[in-house]
Amino acid sequence: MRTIVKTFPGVQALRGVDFDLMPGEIHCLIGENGAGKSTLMRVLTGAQRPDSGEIEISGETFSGLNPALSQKLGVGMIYQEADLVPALSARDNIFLGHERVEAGMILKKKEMRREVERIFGQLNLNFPPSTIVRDLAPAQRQLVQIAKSLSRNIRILVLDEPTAALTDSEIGYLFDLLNELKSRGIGMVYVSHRLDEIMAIADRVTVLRDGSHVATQRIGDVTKGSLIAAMVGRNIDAEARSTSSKADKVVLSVRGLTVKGQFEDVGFDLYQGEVLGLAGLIGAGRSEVLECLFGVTQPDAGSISVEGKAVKVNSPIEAILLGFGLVPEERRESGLVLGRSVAENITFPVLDRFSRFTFLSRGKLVEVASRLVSQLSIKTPSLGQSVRTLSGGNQQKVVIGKWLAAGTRILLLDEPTRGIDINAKFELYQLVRDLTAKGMSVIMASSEMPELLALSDRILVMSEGRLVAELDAAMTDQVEIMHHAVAGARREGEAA
Amino acid sequence: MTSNMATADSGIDWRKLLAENAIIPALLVFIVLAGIATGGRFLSPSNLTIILFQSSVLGVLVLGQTLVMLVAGIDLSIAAVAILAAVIMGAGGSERQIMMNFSGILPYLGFLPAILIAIAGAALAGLINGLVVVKLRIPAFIATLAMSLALSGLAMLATGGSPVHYPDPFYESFGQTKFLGLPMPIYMFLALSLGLGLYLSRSKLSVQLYATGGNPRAAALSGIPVSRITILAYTASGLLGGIAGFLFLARTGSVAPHSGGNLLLETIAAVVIGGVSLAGGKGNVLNAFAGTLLLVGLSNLMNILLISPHLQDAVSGIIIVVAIMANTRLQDAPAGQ
Repeated sequence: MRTIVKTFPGVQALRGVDFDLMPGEIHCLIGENGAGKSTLMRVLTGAQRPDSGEIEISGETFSGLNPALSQKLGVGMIYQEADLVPALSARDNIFLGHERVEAGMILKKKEMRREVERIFGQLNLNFPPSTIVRDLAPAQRQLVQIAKSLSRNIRILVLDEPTAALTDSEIGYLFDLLNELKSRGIGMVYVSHRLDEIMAIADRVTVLRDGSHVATQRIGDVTKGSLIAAMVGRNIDAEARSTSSKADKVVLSVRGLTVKGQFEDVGFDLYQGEVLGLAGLIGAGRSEVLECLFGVTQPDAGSISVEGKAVKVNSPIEAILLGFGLVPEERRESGLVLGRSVAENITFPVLDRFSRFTFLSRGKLVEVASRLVSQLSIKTPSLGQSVRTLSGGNQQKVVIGKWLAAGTRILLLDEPTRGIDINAKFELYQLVRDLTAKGMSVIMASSEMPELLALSDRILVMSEGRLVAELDAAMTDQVEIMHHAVAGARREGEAA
Repeated sequence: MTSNMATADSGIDWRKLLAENAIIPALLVFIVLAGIATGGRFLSPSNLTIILFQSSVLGVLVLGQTLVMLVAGIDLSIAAVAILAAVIMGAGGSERQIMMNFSGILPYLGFLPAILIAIAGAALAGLINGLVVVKLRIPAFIATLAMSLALSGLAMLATGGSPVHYPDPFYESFGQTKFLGLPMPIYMFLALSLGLGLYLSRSKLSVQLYATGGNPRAAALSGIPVSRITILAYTASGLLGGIAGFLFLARTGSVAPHSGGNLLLETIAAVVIGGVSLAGGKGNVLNAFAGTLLLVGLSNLMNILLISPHLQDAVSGIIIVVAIMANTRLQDAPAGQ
């Protein structure tokens, strides 16, 4: 791809970017959100035509592609957010649009079944291909997507944040797989925010910033620090440790909490000003524990007490009154009403405060929203802007802002930095530190271990629905956490 | 992506405003074109009055349908609610009419009790719709279709299938009473539309309605009483259906179990032309109101131009599709980048 230029109304998304990919190579593409990575890849997959520049694939030169042509040329794409049909099985999704047929219409079911089993074996997937996609966890959906693109004959594979929803062990499988594809001569463009992964998998790496090409280097010639510096244009301390704000007062006490089929016998204390990390593989039950605390599901056994008083949380509304706030894992599905404004989204839990006999004072609402927008430095053209158009990091701040408005004392964060760029991540970390310094207590479930280690006071490790370890964040490391998370899983496996 | 720090609203996004309210200029253009096409007859005060008069029943039903669609539901029983309410008001409220009936299922209630019972019953039907949709998790389409069939059956049973010809004379005189040249039902229709529109523009309920329709899961996790809001929308829809039944009787002076005709489909058409999304969380009362006037105005125009009624239905169908296409395009365009 040479001197690709793409302009949108008001924004020059790409300013003459060069990019090349060799067969059997993994070429990582990094840059902050808005740097132009997605646009560049959309040009490659034919979703967008460049204003100028040219694309050369296997010796053929094009001024622009369309999706059909791009597919014919062997370009495959795996999107950040799974694009599967939820009502169909994994197998049917994999062959969607290119079903194997004979006589023009009869499905060759046996052949497809065998092919899917082969791909599943390759990917080490542990669920049956007949599972309906709706019933799969986000990570499993991502893997189905990868399986889907493998079932096509591809020469170039574009992966956009493929690991965003995966656990470390699943990432391991994925990397084995990518290496195998590499040995078959498939060229891959790997778009990601996760530098550790890039260091592990890339042959070369290209950095984009504000629509311009900054650098292309062999992976041996760069360090994490130099990549971050190239992305943001300045140096950032990636491993900043927190100072603890933990006090002696127990704010939340959980004993023997059980939701059948999700988690069992979970018990812990949360102290004022503490950040309690919740580690574990996907499916370990971390999100489920948070949802139960927030009244989304009802426990089958166990007790919850808030500030020494035993409570029963029957609904999110009751949870909010008790001082809980949940920042859910799937921000766009569960955290925000995308079509509504920043001001409304921030004030949903506290509408009652601005209304009298059901009449709403928009003035007061805007006042509170505008105070939070500036406190959290949420970047939005206006308070009336629909949150759909904000970047991931700013969307997440809106979700957190909602709980600041509500006066939350116990903040439940579920994968708070998923899919947001590195600057926004650091802002969020700082925000969590500021909030705990003011006495808020935080439970944070995260798959990003550096983040857990840097922010938490203590880290609880869950495995297969049970709490298997409590670790002092200052005294532990990724290896120990992973050891507990996986060891529990293995025991379960042996028992079964 | 241009995003700059802002701590307060920085002016109005005209493009978005136009995209979301395209029905208003469309209605104005239509009125001008219709005026030209008919050599001004369309614009005569008497014709405009007819359009408003004809819009009154549909317009009130549209208000109810809009509320339900905002929470991503649909009320297929709203026309049946209106007709049954009209039957109860007309037959149960008139001694003379009850004597005409054979079945005797509907007793003589008295004029005022009949009105109150009819309207309360309409609201109750809406409440049941809401409870069935929310508590039993039955799709709105099925739940309200069943309600529609059940109520139509009741109307048949109560009247034995024959029309209610002799409602209390109040209805006809109310329908014909004019104030400043306009019949009373028009005032009721306008007052309800204006009242609901204004109420929604400054109430907590509207924020909750849009949040519930826009993303019920996120709304629930933000502390919005999603179930209560949804049930409330269906109940209000039933209540408005009852009021529409009153207007129906006042406008026509009689009602038959089959009088509903195309009324149900017209409510959906008007709401959709007004840009209210079937997926919920998008649209507003003012636009649905404009959609009603456009739909009724179009049919009036075709009557003036002596276009065959059969062709009229086809034209209405095409307009609905065009309106949906235009709304989808307009609303998606600005979010394209």
